[in-house]
Amino acid sequence: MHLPYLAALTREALDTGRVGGVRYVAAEQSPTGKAGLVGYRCRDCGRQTLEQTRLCPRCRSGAIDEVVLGERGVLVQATTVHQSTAEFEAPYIIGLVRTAEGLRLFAPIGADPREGVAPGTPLELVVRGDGSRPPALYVPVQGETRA
Amino acid sequence: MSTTPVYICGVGMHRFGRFPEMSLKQLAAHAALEALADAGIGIGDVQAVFAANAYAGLLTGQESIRGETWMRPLGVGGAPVFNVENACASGSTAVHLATLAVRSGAYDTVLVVGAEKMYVQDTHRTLKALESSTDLETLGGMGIQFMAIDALRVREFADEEGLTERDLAWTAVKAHENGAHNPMAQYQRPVSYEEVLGSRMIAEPIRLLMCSAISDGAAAVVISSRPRNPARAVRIVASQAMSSPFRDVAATGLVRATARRAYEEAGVGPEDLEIVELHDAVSPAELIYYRELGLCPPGEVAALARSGKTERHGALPVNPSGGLNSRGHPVGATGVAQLCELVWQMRGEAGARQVRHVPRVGLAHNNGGWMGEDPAVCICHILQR
Repeated sequence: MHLPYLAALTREALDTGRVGGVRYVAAEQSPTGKAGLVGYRCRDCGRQTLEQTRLCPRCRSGAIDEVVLGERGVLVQATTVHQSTAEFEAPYIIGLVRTAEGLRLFAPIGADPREGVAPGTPLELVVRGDGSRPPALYVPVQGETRA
Repeated sequence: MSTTPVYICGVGMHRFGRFPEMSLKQLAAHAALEALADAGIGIGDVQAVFAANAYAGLLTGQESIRGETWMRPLGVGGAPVFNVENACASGSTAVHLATLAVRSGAYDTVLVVGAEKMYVQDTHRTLKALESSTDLETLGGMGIQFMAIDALRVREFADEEGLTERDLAWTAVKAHENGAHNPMAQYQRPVSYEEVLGSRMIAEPIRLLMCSAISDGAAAVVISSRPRNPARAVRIVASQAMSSPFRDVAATGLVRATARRAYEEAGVGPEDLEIVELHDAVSPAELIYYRELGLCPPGEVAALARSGKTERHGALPVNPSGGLNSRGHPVGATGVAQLCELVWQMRGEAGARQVRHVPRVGLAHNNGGWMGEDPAVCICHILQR
C-alpha cells in the first residue's frame, strides 16, 4: 500500500516501537488498519526496503516514500535459541520471515519454543502494547496452515 | 593496478584462549615481536602499522588510538599507526590495506597486528558487543545473536544440499581433530560425534561444540616488497574486499563475488587451491563456503564433505589450523591468524599439523558482521609460493 502521507504522521505515532531495530506501527495507528513495519519504497521503480535510505539502491532515484509493509509474511526458516542474553530469556524463537512484499528479515516469532514453527507457516505482525517483550513479533495466522 | 610483488615475510601469534592475566597490549606485543623475529627485522624497519581490533572500545573502553597504545611501548618511533575495524574481518581488512600500501610503493615494509580480548568476566557484555556487528537499526534489540543468524542459514543450506545432522557434526569433529595438533589453538583436544551431538543446544541445529568460542589472542604478519629472506617469503597474489550487496541488485551473494574477484586477480581457480582457511564462525558454515568459494558445484557439498578431501591429509585441506571453531575466534586477530597458518603450511613449518603435501597455492576467507542476506564484509586473500 502506497502511503506517502505516512511521513506526515507525528514522530510519536511512528516511533511506537521497533521489531528489533525496524520501526513498526500498531494497527490503530496504521493507515492500512493492520500492524506493519515502516519501510521505504522507490516511487520510480517500486523497490522496497526496510533499511532507512535516501537513495534507491536499484535505480538510484531519490524519490523515496515511507510506507507500511510486512503486515503478513511466511516463515522461511526458524531456530529455537537456547542461549539467554541480557535482555531475552531463552528459549525463544527467531525466524527468517519473507514478507508478502518479498522482503526477508530476521524477526522474533511468537510460538511455543518447545514445539517450534514449521517453514511455510503464514505469519502476521502483532504489536502487543502491554509492555511485554519483544513488543512486536510475528505470530502464526490462526486458522491457516502451511502456504 | 600496480604489479609490485608483495610478500608476507614474517608471521607470529599469541596462542588463542582465555588469558585474564594478560592485557590486550601484551597480547598484541607478543604477536608483533614474533612476526618481526620471523621476518628477520627489527621494529625500526617497520614503516607503518595496521592495527586490527573490533571490540576494545566496548569491552575495555579503549575506543580510540588502540594501535598506538599497543605499538608505542615497542618503540615503533614515528611510524604511522592505522586503526582498522571491520568486525570479524578486521584482521584481514588490515592485511588488505597493508597490501595496497606496500603495492603502491608508499612503504616497503609494514606490520599488521590483529588482537582481541573478549573475556571480560561478563558473557552478556561480550554478546552485546558482538551484536553491534549488525545494523542495530534493523537487527538490534530482539535477541538476534550471531548464532541464531548462523543457525537459520545452516538450516536453509542443509535443506538445499541434503546435509544430515552427522554432516553438521563432522565439521566440528574435523576442526577439533586439526586443532588438537595446533599449539596456537584454544581447544587442543579431539571431540567425538557423540560429544558434539550431546553438547548443549545453542540455536537449533547449532550446538555448543559447533560454536567458535569467546577468545583472547593476537596474530601479526610483516608485509613487504623487499623480504629480508626471500626463500621464506610467501607472495600475496590476490587481496580482495567487498561489502554486503543488495541481493536484488547484485548478481551473486557476497562471498561468491569476493572469491571470484580473488581468483581473477590471482589468475587461478578453485581447482588450483592446495589449502584453504575459511571463516567457520559456526563449524557447519564451513559447508556453506565449500559452495560459495567454488570448492564444489551446487548440490555436491555433502559428497565433498564425506569424501575426506578437505581433511588434513586430503587433497584440499580446509582449516588445518582447527579454524575459528577450534583455534578460537578473537575477532580482530582471526583474519591475520588465517594468513599465519597458510604461511606456516606453505613453508612446511606447521609441525604436527603439517598437511601431507606442502601447498603452493592457498586461500584465506574472512567474513565480518551481518547486513541483509550476507556478511557485512568479506575479504579473500590468495597466497602463492
